[in-house]
Amino acid sequence: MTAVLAHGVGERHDLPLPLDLVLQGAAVALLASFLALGVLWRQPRFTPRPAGPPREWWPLRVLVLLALPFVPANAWPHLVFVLFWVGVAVASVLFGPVWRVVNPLRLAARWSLSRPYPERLGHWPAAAGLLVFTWVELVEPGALPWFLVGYAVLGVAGGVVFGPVWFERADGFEVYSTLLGALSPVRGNPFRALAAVPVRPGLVAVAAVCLGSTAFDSIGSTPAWARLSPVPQWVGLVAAVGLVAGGYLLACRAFGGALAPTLLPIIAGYVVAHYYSLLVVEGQRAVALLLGRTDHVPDTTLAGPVTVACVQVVAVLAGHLVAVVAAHDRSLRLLPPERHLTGQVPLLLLMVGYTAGGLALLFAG
Amino acid sequence: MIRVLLCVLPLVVAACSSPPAAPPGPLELALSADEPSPHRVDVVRGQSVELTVSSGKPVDVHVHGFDVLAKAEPDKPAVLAFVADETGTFDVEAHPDTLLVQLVVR
Repeated sequence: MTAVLAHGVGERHDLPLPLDLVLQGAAVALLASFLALGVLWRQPRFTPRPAGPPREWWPLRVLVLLALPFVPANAWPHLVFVLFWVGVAVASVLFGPVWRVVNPLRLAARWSLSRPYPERLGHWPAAAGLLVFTWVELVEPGALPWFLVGYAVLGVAGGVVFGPVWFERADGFEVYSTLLGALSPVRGNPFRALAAVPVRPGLVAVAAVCLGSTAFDSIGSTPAWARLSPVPQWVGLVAAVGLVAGGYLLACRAFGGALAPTLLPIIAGYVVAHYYSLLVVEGQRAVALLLGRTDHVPDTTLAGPVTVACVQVVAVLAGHLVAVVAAHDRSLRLLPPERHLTGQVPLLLLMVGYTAGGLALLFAG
Repeated sequence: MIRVLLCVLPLVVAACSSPPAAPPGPLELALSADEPSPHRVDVVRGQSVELTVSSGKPVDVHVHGFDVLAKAEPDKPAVLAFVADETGTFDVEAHPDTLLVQLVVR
């Protein structure tokens, strides 16, 4: 990697989705949403049931910690931006909150002062941490070592002062992994797990950072954005996050953050669509670099144009459909009976907007 | 929900599987690193591409993904010739980060 890359890793972007596919996908999302409104159940069906904490085994964290010094210096960007940021997200959607299980910083909580964590802080530190990380990823990859040192120092300090609760609420990566882990089909009904996601201050901000930063990754690589070049990258990143958050607050202001968990399937679908080819191609390079091989040429069979386009459209639409069903059920629980139908419309429109926007970005970026 | 998905799949497959046409003649582009006007250019896979980049000051020009590099000087434009034999979207940049054109190879 001699070149300066906007993304830290990867030399190639996906082909733009064909425009007709984008339009058809958006139409299906719109149609399915309002069909769901008309034909789905009229009484809330999914009783909230958290999936329960995963089995934890602290020697695994010790192993991870001991392995870190052996990572070759040139493998760090691939390790963090591909295997960690994208790989952990995908693994969480499939298997549950994996980062919680392996997070080596959690070892610090074994020697904790166990001060009470302030409730009103909620997930805000996590949202801030994720925003800084996505800034490093998309704008300033050179700052990665500083970010990792800061993350480790803060994690150890938080763990010592507040105990495990710090990681549950304030560690951005663990919050992200745990939230996406609610979608895991292997740990019980994902709809019931989604309904049980605790709504804490800052949850909307976490969702907005995750969705907005991925969107900005698309926007930032378009020629149209390059023509605006005096506008600094970080302004675009913050604007994209602000736009996602603003859309939610406008559509769901009556509910506060209570509907934010229903956005998680949309985030997961868009992350898979956006990063699929990066994960399957650069993921191979990451493993090769970890093994000390710099000359590995990744196999691109799984990243052919047809496969990528199909994965993208199916992931975005599947995320949208799961989100719509979850939002329908959640609204029935939160709304008075006379507003069951009309009260859902703003959220449905917002979801159609996010999904159509996501598809449009896969076309444009 | 499953029915909707089943309706979508044929559309997806139909839209994804148009046969590639035979590669046309070489694509020649003249670009300026001083006044970049980045846009997208469609390239057919297997087509040969020749980029001529002029610049008022010495600058490295790089085609990402194909790893073609050339230096443009004030009196000597950079010429980058290669065969686009991989699909994807590739940036052509004057380093460090001035986007000159994006090649969309299908």
